[in-house]
Amino acid sequence: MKYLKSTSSPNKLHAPPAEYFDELLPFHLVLDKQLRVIQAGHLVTRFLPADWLGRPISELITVKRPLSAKLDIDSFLLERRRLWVCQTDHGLLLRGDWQVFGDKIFFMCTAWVPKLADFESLKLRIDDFPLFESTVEHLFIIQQYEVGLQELEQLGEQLRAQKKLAEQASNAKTSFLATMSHEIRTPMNGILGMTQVLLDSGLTADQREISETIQFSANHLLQIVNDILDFARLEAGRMEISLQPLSLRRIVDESLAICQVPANEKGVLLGKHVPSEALGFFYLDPVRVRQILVNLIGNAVKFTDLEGSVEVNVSVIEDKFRIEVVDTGCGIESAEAEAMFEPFKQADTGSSRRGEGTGLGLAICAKIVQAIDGEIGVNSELGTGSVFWFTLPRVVAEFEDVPQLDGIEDLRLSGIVLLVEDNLVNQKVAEAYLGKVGLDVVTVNNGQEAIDLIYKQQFDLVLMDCHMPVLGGIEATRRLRQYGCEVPIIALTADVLDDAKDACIAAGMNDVITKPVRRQELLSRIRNYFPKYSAGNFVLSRSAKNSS
Amino acid sequence: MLVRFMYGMVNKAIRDLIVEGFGEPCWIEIADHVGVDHHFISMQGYDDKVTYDLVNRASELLDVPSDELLRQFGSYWIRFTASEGYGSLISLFGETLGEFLEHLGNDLHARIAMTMPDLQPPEFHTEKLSETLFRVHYSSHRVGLKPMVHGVLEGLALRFDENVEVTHIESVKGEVVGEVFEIHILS
Repeated sequence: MKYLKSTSSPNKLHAPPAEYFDELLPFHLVLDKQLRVIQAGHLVTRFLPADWLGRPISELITVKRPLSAKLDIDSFLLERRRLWVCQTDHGLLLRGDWQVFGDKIFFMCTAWVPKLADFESLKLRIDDFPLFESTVEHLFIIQQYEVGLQELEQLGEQLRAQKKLAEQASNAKTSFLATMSHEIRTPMNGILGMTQVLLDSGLTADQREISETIQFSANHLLQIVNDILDFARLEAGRMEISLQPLSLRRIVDESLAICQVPANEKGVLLGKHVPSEALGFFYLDPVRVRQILVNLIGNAVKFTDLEGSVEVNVSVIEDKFRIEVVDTGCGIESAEAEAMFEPFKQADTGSSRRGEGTGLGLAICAKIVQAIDGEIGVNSELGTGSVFWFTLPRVVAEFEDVPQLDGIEDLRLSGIVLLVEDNLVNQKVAEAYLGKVGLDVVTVNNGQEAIDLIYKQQFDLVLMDCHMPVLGGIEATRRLRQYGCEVPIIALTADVLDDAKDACIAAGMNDVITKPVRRQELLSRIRNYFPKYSAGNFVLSRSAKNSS
Repeated sequence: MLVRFMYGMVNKAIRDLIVEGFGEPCWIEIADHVGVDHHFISMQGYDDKVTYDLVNRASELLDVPSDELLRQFGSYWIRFTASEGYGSLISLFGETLGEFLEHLGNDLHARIAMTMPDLQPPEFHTEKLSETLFRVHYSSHRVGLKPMVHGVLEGLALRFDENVEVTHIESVKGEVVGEVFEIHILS
């Protein structure tokens, strides 16, 4: 160590010789008591005027920090041991502190270069700094920080661009699904509707069996289409949950009833247990809860053999319902059970039944349960049956919200319905359904014909298809509402996406019925728009109403 | 086995070199084959293997010998670091190639190593044989990078607008690999 001289006391530090002082602190300044510069480091002089020697310090540098400090003795003493930042007229920042030693005042400082690029403008070089100085390293770190920020910004831009692309792809998928759903569901409407009409007519036993097979197959196909659409919508986070005051027991009964036929065919006994605290009305989404239950019960029946049983057990745990579907079927290996709720997964039972359906049912159930703030799971072991369970929030319905849940089997209605539908098959289906409960039906082929007719004739209800030649249902409704027409209008649409339904409501329609139109759904949705009569009672006709 | 880390900046430079010379799809194919992300974070450490794999795969795909690719990369490295904002650092170490080479051994990598604690940078030592002839000693724990150092020296000459002849003089084997080059400044 050339700056230390060995002495009798090894800890005694000697000041380095004067020539090294300048080497160690090449930016230092020394003042006399009059605050005139009497000495300067060899590098700082590059940034001072040529006649710096003997000039007052206040003419050569300004104080940047401490903010309240001045270039006077009081400040030097008061702000001792504080970081001072001063600047020469040439723009060089000096950082250090002022020390008063006897009759001299030292500014023990070094240059401060805020940016790596400033080195060039200040014409500073690496060998202007002693090796122990870390200014260069600091600048290097700052540069790394700036590069890091730029990289973050670039990554952000790339992510935004990729998000946009993903959204476009998702929109294209949604649009494709909407189109396909419309294209598939429209002919399904004809198949299911006409099959229902056929079944309602006088058929021989053979004909009935054939018709029922057509109906079963069409329903199965429709279920597959619905599964795929449901899953796509759930994946896109576009499924809305619609809570209504309902009886959970009724939903359980309906779900069991739906599964009764296949259970009977297999000789599987269906049962239920609904405790008293689960009776009454609760806010539930009937479509979704039923969808989960039918799926779980249907699966249980599928994998349970003759003389087995499937039971739905409802229990109440704090503010939740726990609904279990317990079967005595073949069970699932626990390793497989965990994957059951993933899309396109089916348990490998070794049975020929494997492969039925889309493998989406449980994945859909899981997503629905998630959407309604519940949980879903399965407890099973191979050969010991399975318990599929899910939970639902238990929220008791307000009394005034509780609906009338009358059946529609004996429904008789009176009134005139304007059916606006371009598809001949769909016309026949709707006419058959409506005519059967006593409604008069006038059919037109497009929205323009509907507008023209509504001017001439009064109707109790309009059933309006959305996609029609000449004038579509949404535009026709918008015009009718603009003209002040108040007749209830219900959309009939094969578009299942929420956007399409929203467009119908926004145009002024009162309700939306999705195709294929089921008789039960159609009648239960339209009945509130008509006076209600049971069979055999006097029927008030439109003409009678008008004359009264 | 000791895993050495290369800062992402090196891999980023390889990416840019390939994208600039051969296009983005070529880079994606190389990165996918090696099994790495298409982007690197400059200050994040990556296993040395990633860098070697990228060079080897690029060599196979582009049908360019890996030594030649490393030499090109070495030359590109100087341009790349300047574009990343470190050009001033190079200027700081000298206004001419000769000045820079004199400082190369003294400060540059030792100072960089201070700011990158996980980095194992090489060491350089320069002998000034004459005003136009320098002998550069390179030492590193990494093997196989001789062509890259050759390219780096050529890249420096380009940056300082000098016409040079770089000659490999000798290799020193051992735990620390050594390579000795001579740079003759021709004009």
